[in-house]
Amino acid sequence: MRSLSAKTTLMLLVPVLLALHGFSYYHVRQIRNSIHYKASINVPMLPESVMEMAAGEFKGIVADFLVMEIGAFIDAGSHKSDTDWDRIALHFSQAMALDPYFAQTYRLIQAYLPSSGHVEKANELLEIARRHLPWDWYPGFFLGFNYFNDLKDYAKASECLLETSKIKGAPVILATLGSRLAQKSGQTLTAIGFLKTMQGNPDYDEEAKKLIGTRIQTLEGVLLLERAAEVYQQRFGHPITTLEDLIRSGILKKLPVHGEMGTYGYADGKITY
Amino acid sequence: MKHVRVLAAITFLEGARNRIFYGLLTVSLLLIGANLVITHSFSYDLGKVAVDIGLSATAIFGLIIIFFLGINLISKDLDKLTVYMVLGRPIARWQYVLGKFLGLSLIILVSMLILGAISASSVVVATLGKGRHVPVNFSWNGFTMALVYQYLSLNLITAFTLLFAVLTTSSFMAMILSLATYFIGQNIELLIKLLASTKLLAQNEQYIAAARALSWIFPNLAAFDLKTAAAYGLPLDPVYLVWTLVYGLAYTGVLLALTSIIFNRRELA
Repeated sequence: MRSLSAKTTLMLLVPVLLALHGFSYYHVRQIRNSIHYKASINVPMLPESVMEMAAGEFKGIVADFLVMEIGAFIDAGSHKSDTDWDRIALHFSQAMALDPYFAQTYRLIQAYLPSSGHVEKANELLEIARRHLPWDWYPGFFLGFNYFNDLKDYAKASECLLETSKIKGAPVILATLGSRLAQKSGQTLTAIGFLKTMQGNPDYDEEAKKLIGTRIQTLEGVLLLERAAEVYQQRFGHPITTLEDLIRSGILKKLPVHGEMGTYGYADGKITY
Repeated sequence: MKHVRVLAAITFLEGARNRIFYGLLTVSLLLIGANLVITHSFSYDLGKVAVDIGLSATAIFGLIIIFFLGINLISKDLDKLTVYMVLGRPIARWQYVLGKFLGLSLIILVSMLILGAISASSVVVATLGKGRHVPVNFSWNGFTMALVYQYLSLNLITAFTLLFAVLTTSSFMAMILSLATYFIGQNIELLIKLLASTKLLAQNEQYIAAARALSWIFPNLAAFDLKTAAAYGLPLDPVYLVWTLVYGLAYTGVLLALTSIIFNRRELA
C-alpha cells in the first residue's frame, strides 16, 4: 500500500484536530458553566507592605485586578465560611494599601464587610478612604452609619456624620442625622452649635437651610427640657418620670414648641423628639 | 555632535527594523483594546481603571523595549565585535555611548507617543457617556505629565542598562542587573518608610541608615510614577515636578558619563 505524503497527512489531520478541538471545548465549557466560576481567590495572602513592593509602579492596576477578583469571588454565590470572609477582609486591606483612592474598593467594603462580622475592619479601611478622599462624602457617611447601626456608638457616629456634612455636595441629611445622634449621646449643645454653623453653608439651598432651621429649633427645645430635668433632679433628688413633672413642679410654665411639628417625650432617662 | 546624531539615527533605525518592536507594539495595542472590556467590569471610577490600564501598558512596553530590545542592541555590538567597525572611524567612545543612548531614547519616545495617543483614545472611548464615573478632578494635563515622567524614568533605566552592558561580559547579566536596579528603584522609598514605621520590623537605626545610603545610589523610580495622580486628577506640585526633572536628567548624565569612562578603559578584544 502506498504511504501517504506528509502534505496529504497534514491535510487529513488538521480537520480532525479542529473537530476534536471544537467538540472537546464545547464539553469543557458546558462543565465549567455548571460549576461556580470562582471557588477561590487567586491572590497570595501577603501583608499589605509586601503587596505594595511586589506591585512596584503598577499598584493601580494590581488594585483593579484585586478588586475584580474579590468581587467575582463574592458574587460566585458559593457559601462563604468565616475563613473565607477573613481572607476577603485581608484582600480588601491589600487593595486599599495599593490604591486608597479607588471608590469601587470602599463601596464593596461597605457592601460586604460589616454584614459578615468585620465592621471594625471595614471602619479601619473606610478611615483610610476618608483621609485620601476629602472631597467624597460617602466614606464618612458609611463610617457614621456603621458606628450607629453596628457598633451603637452614637457619639462617634455623630462625629463622623457632622464632619462629613461639611464636604461640598454632601446632602443636608448628614447634618440633621448627625445632630440627632449627637443629642442621643448627650451632646445637644454641640449639635446645635454645629447646625448653626452649617446654616451658613453656601452650598445649601433654601430648602436645606429651612430644614436645618427647624432642627435647630427642635434641639433648642430638647436642650431646654434637658436643663429643666437637671434642675428637677437637683431639687427633688430623683429624675422626672414624664415631661409633665416639669410643668407640675413649676420649673417650666409650658413645654417648648417642637420645631418639626412632632412631640417631645421622655424615655430611658433621655428626652426624645 | 554630528557623529552622535548619526549613531543615534542608526540605533533608532536598527531598533525600528527589529521584528520584536513591531510584535510588542501589536501586543500593546491589543492590551489597550482590552481596556474597553475590562473597564466595564467596574461600577465606579471607570476613568481611573481606564487610565491605569493605558498608562501601565505604556510602562510595560517601555520596560520590555529596554530589557529585550535595548540590551540586545548594545550587547550584540560588543559580542559580535561590530563595535570595531564603528570605533574604527574617528568616533570617540563617549560619542558611541551617547549615540546609542539617544537612539534608544528616541525609540522609547516614539513608542510612548504612539502608545500614549492610543492609551488616551482608549480612555476617551472607555468612559464615553460615563462622565459620572470619571474622577471629578481628572485632567489631560495630569495624564500627559504622567507620560512625560514615565519617559524620564525609562531614560534613567536605559542609562543603567547601557552601564551594565558595558560593565559586564554577558547580555544576560546586564538584564539581571538592570531588572534588580529597576526593582530596587521602585521600592527603596517604600522600604525606608516601612523600616522607619516599625510595622514590618523593630526599628533598627543601622538598617534605616543603610537603606537611606542605598537610596542615594539607586534611582528613586517611585518619584517619577505619576499614574495615581493622573488617574484621580490629584494636584501636581510644580516645584516637585521641576526638582524631579532635574534629578532625572542629572542622574542620567552621571550614568552616561560613568559608562563613557568605563567603556574608554574597556579592552574590546
